[in-house]
Amino acid sequence: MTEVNISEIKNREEMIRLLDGYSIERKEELDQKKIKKGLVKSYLLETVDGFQDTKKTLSDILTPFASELIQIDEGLYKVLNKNSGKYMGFLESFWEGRYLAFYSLELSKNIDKLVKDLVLLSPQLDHVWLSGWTFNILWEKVKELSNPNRFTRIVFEHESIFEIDSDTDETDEDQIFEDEEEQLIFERRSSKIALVDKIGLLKDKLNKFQELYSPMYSITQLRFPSPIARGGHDFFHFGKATNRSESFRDHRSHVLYVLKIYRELIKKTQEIVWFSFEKVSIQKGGEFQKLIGAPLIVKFREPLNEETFNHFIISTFERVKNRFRLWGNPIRLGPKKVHVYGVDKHLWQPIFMEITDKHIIAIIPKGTCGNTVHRLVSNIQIYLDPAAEVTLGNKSYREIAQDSSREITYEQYK
Amino acid sequence: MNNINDLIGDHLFQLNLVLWLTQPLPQGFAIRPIFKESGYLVHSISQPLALPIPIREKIRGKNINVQDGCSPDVILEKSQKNSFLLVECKKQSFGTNSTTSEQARTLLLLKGRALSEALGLALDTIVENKIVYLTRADQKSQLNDTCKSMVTELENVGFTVCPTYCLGIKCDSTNSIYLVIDSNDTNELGLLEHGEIKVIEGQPETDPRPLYFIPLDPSVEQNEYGIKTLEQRLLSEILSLIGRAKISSKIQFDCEELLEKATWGMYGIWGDRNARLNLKRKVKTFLSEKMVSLLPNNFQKEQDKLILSLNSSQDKETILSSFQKTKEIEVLKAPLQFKLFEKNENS
Repeated sequence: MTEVNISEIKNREEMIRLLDGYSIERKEELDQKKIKKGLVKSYLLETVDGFQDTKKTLSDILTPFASELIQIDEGLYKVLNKNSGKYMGFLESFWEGRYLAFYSLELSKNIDKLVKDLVLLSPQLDHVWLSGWTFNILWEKVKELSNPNRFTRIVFEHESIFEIDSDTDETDEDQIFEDEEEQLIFERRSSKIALVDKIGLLKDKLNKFQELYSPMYSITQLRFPSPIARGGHDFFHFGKATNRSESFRDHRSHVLYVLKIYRELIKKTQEIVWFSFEKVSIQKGGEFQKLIGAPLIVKFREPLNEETFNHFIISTFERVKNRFRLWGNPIRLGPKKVHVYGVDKHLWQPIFMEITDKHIIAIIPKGTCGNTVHRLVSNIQIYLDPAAEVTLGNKSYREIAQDSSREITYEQYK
Repeated sequence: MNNINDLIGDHLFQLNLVLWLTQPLPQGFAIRPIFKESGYLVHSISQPLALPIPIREKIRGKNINVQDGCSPDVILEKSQKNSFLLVECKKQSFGTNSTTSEQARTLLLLKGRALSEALGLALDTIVENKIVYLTRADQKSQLNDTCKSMVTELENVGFTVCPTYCLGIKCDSTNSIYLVIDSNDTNELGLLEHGEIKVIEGQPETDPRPLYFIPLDPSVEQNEYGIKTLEQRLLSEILSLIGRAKISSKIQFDCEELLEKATWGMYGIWGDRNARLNLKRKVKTFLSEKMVSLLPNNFQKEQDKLILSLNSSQDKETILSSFQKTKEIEVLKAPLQFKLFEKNENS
């Protein structure tokens, strides 16, 4: 078995060789169902738009969290945990640090939490958020690109946590019930379904499943089969990708492909939704105050009942640690209508929302990162309404996601 | 819930309603953007327009009261067509001797080339423009009469004036909001429908107002929702500043900048200097008191700025936690005694 010694890696080629070799060994173990070490995982992260406060160095983001970056080349770093003295993996920077991929060999149970905490504590970092609707577009790509005889894995997840006031906050997400007897009984809709089947077989059926059972719109994991060998790459809604193939290079290539689609999606989102009174100069001097932007509209397929609506508002705005990580003092306008001029606490940026039993309207002021939209949509699909209809202005979110995935070119790497 | 009849006459509500009716929204949604559907976009908000010199020269000696300039609440533009609607929001009709009538005459005189010049367009640009008054439906006919008499007055002394139209706002028992448009006006304005058009779907016992783009207009009477909105937007800007700050850094709270951000730049165009100062002072008082109670040794005052040193994660947590628990800015609740927007400074 290859000894993993990240400290000795001096250039990109050595890193690729190390992770390629490591991937082959893990794949063999996977095939024998005797996995001994963590699989290669990539955590796709996004830095605040424009990289405003962090342009000087990536270390500015990570140093406060006991992580040190040791530069390998222009866009590649080794990540050292200063407290333990242990190398945690590699960090690759794309598009001048706007997007990052953190490659780790640690076990999920350890590294998932570490990355989550890092994002939680850093106002400059966020996960790449792949909503159910974005995954639906990625599924189209899987169908288009893969041999129909290859297997894929799709996970659907929806939990109507606001149907009862379960007093949950985001810290409970990590709670694992070791003992079945200890599991609480909640009578609310909760679905987690994993489908593993041939792409050819699922090809025309998924739409029908979704029409029959709406939680299936909320895809939270999807496997891209590897084109060069068995296995594939599992993408998670919070931007994690696990390499279950024997090639790290193929894994990285898939990571880059998804990142490029996401980057286009963010660009398009920001172009549409950023609201501002733009000052436009005129010939004779002076300026116009022009209103620019379009609202994000989420229409629930079925109106929320008053109890669910109230639990959603209370859980979100009266608990500091809430799943949506929003802050605001709701202004009550009726039994099922509030206005919130609040803050998205992932990146500490303003967001204004009208929330009713039938819809959410979100105004994203210029400067607020576009991923706020995708995180919100992702969370709404998982926790409120998996089939919620989403539009940016009058353009459907699906359509924008579709446009973003069209004709990805190598020019977009730049 | 506020009285819905008061709401439909509220200037700030009317102004924000116009902005919402120009938004791109999906079909069948709770808000129907009738202006957007008819091809109108927001050209500018509260844009000061000067009456061109030839008109000012001509009006002198005619014994007609007009102002040298005005700022229509919103200018809508039909894209690529140089067709403009100058929209004025009014709670009620006004008398022909009031200061409002002086502004109204100025608007009437800004026709075609005069508007083109006031907007700074190229000399050969052919502009078509109309004036639209938006008011409560029960004031519509009275306001129409007022406009007609001003039109006659100006035409009698040799001016060609802008066509003027009145749209009404009304509500029903379900709290839905309607725009009332006469059939002739619909054609003239290039709108798609006439009659009573539901523009906001109401709900029982629910205030139908949409989110406000413009949170405050101190030129008109204050309302509770507007102040609440400004207060919450200020809090969100303050929290954003603190939340994004690095440890071992200094956060600069520039009261003017905070107000600019919270009003999306409208604060900067409010004409009444006293009003701006008043508001700025209140924000400064709020921030100073808050800082003194939280981290008295970490902050210093500098004219309109407060500078807070964040020396540790604990400092940041303390201040973030306190602001997250803040429900209101009490000092803002005191009456804001000012008249705002450039247009009213002369009135």
